[in-house]
Amino acid sequence: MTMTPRSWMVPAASAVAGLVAGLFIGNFRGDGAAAPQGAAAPARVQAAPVDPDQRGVSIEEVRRVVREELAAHDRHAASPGQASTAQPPEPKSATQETATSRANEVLVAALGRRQWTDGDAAALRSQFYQMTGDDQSEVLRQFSQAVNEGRLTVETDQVPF
Amino acid sequence: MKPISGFSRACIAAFGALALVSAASAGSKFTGDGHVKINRNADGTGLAIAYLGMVYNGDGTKEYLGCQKSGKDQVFCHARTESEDRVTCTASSSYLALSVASISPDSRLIFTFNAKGVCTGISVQHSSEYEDKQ
Repeated sequence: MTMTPRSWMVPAASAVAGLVAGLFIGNFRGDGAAAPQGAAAPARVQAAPVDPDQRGVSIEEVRRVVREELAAHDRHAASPGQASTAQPPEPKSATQETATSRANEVLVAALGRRQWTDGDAAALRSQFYQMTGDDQSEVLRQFSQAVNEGRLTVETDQVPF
Repeated sequence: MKPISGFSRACIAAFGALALVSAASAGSKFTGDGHVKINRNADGTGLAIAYLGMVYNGDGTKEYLGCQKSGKDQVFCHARTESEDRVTCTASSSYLALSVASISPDSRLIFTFNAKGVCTGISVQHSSEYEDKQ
């Protein structure tokens, strides 16, 4: 069978038209399967429509959270050592204030004599358990520091308070 | 005085040998004196160490070492040597309070302190090598 030039041009043109049509349809599917590799794919992803109600977190919400975190960080940096959520200490009762004052007087007097006697231990003991925990710690810390530095000689055989 | 018979001599020898074997197979024992020792550093830090059972059973009359804790996790440790050197420290720490709670009569106890009189560590060790309080 012989084909004239005119007869083979018709199926060739049909094939080219089908190929072009296939590429055109593939570009509109949006899955990138028929898309050429390169810069065209990211551009199409960015342009993909997003339903604002289904994103979960909006850009404005993210900005608000970042602003709040930065503000909290600035507050913390302005007052090192203090947590922004720390509760203020409870005010001491008059009994606690008096006990701490007397305990400090006992310690100061002993430091002046450089001696910690049975009488000092008894005097501190009578006040100690009326003091707040923080004040107990501070009195014992000062006592310990003075003993360890040799500024206070413990002369009692019993526990020091 | 009645002379010791040959049979009695044999029994005494056997008993002695048995005692020696028992002592030799009773396990390793700590051979130090276990006394309270205090080390001070130039920067004000230091430590105290003792074997509680050995101190109690020993011939010392002045030395002691101990720690106590209150219900608010307040810890106080103090030690005195036979030469009457003393150190003490205190801390508010649930972590150190747990260590104090684990002290037993036959512990090897060590506490360390900083220059401000704050306890910085408490080590409580138990071992079959340490003797119990008698």
